Amino acid sequence: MRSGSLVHCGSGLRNMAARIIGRCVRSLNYRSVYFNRINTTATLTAAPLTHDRTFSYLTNGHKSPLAQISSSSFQVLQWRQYGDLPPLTLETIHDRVLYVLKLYDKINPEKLQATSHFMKDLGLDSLDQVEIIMAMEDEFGFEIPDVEAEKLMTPQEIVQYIADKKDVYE
Amino acid sequence: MGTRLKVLRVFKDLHKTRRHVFRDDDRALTAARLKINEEFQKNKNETSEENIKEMLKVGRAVETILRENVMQGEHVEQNKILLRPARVSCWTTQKQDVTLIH
Repeated sequence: MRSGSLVHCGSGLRNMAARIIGRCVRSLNYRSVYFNRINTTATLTAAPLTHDRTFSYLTNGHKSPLAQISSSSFQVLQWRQYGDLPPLTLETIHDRVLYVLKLYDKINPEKLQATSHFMKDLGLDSLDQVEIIMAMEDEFGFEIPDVEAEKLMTPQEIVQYIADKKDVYE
Repeated sequence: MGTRLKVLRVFKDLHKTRRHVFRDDDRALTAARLKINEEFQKNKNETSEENIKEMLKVGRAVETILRENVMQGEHVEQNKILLRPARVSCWTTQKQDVTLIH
């Protein structure tokens, strides 16, 4: 859509709004748009879209030359997409490590804690530990050298090691 | 590098090769995994250095055979199998203990 448009929609016309928004979004090409609906009734305005210009965003306080915006409106944010994974945090690393461990068939998920020692508490041996470390390498996408892999004996140590290697602080 | 580390290394390489050679083939993956684990567990308590060296040799040979001689194929029509091209480069980044043991 090259020209600006004004769409009023009450709860009954949400479908129409969605379709029109879809048409707007399709013309964005490389940019993706994130919609955050605040309220059921909404008023949407769109600035003229070209390939060079960024898509203007609408929030409650923004004054658009085209039309008024009601107090409850669609909030449209623009996300730039670069080719990278979401950032790691200590918590997400912890969750992923435990998730992978729970999938391992020789571990009882109920007995698993962050501090459970693989050999002493969970009764695994060094071969199982190698398999576990391989699963972690697979999950996080980087190699762990044998010398250091040997020392990782609890989920907490694995989390700490990955956080060190990936520069995750808290 | 101690013998223990060598054993763990061969174990890891076997599993890595298995994961690559049989990728997308769940049945072969699990069968191979169980076989590798079973063989290693069977000889877990071996103490003779000679025997361990022999077994490591076998393990490395198996890994080479898997990597170089196994191809994956998929039935596309009744008498046609589509072969999956083999990746030539080695996927392990660590080159430890590649020579034969004497």
